[in-house]
Amino acid sequence: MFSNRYSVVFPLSERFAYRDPAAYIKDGTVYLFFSLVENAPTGSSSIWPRARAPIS
Amino acid sequence: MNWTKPVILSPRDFDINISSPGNVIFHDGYYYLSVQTYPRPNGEKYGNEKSRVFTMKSKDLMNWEEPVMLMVKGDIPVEDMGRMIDPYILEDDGTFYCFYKQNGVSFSTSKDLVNWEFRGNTACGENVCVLNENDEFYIIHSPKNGIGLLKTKDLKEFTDCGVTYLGQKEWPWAKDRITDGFVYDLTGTGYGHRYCMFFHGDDFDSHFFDASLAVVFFNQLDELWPDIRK
Repeated sequence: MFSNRYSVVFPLSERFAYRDPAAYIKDGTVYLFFSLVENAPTGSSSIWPRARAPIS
Repeated sequence: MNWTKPVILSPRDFDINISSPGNVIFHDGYYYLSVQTYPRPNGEKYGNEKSRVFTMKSKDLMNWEEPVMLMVKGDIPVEDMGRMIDPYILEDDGTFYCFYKQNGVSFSTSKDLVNWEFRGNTACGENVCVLNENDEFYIIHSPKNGIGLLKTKDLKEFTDCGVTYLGQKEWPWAKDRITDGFVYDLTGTGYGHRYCMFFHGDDFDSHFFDASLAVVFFNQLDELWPDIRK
């Protein structure tokens, strides 16, 4: 059984897949960068969002 | 961890398709984020031969300037550089190392993030993340499934330290692939662990790309890669 602490940050949704994470921590905030892939009728498009989280 | 709503930072443009952020470094008053372009102008599943590696810079991690191509093969025409993706930049004692996917993993060095010299390559999975600890490079990479580790002291001789699959057997959302590990050294950040690793897990059942983002915490690299002790 996998025993390390873990969490799912962004679960797959009907509309988006989340890929390729990179993080940077500054002044108690995690900056998370990743590819956001939209499941569109023509295939997918990659765009690049940023989310932030306080350290907890 | 409670996350803000994501903010879109790059244009929705199939001809450029900025994606696969590698990492952030701080240099000379700016944060630099390594990224790739991944052109799919005709709806291709994968980026075409024009895929290249870039950095974007920012004063505040929020507002980013236009991407600048990294001439990691030196002073040669862009069209002769070849397809390259998944950049990661590491600074060590005044030298920048750029690692990127081309012929396994390739690596180039620079003193200023502008002028680069190609140094070599080795067989490896994709989307590398590199730590430099105890005079050794640890290259975290992604084979077809799982997250692997290579170690090297000189970027000439490499030791394969195996592959971790984390809790894949227990995670339906990652049942088809665990990949793209990004390890961050949490020393001094206030977390109760030494490292975290962000990654994505694939479940290929319903969509073109099916991936969830997750993070795992650990204290020693050998918790995930026991062969590192060899």
